[in-house]
Amino acid sequence: MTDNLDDLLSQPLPPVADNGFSRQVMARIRKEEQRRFMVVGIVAAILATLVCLLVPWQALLPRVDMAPLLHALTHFETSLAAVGTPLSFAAGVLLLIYLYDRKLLQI
Amino acid sequence: MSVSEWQAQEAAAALAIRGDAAAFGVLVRTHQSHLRGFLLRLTKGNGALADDLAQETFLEAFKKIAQFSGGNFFGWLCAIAWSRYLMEARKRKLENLDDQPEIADDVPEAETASLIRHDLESAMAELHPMQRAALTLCFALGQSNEEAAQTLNIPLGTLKSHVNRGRAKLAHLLSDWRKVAVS
Repeated sequence: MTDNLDDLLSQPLPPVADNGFSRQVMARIRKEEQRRFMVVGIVAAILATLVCLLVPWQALLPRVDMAPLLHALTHFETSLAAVGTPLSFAAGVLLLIYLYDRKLLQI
Repeated sequence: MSVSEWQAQEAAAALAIRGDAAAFGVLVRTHQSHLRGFLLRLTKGNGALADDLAQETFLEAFKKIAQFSGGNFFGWLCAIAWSRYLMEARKRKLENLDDQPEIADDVPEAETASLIRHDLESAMAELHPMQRAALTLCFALGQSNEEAAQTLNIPLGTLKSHVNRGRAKLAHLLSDWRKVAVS
């Protein structure tokens, strides 16, 4: 009886057909990865914003003449118009790369 | 498992550790049948619950893949599956989990193909989950006692005790049923 029982117990488990199970698992993993990527991105953006707001840049960089930068920022629209076409093209390419990378765009 | 299969599995695990999702997909396809079979037995044939637990197991394995230190990947998966099963059992209260129908309707055909196997599965359902897991790992899945003890996170002596008690109870149940069938 014991030998029979051991033989019975040693029979391999019946195979379970995949039936899309692996695909479902991988889809969940991809979704989880995207969610993690988004959370990391948001946290990084918040931290970067806080650093920009809280760090006393003027005290740290007293000798830097900020005038050109401030001028560029206040005349951003004018500057943008000056470099208009190439900048738009570059922004468009970056947007397409981003969409393709995030799998929002199928080529 | 042949040497080449073992090497392929090791290579896939190494790639998965480096974040290669496709390599992890290979591991999922390789091990899904055995893992779901193991969980199907733990859950007494509750296919839906077994599949949910298997999905959670693979997801957790992917998240913690960096912690896999090489060796038996399937054993590592079984350890995650066992802890997931215990968590689910506690959540549902173990009694309720044990109150599931012994052989549910959604058991694959192969499971009910032979009466002997059906008897074995019914008798298995009478055992304590730890005995069920220990017997399945040591016999049907071919793990050594040491590997099974590691998977279930119990001392080797405790594992052997579960195996012996489970086997004795199974023998008792099966011989009782045989007597009833003969009479």
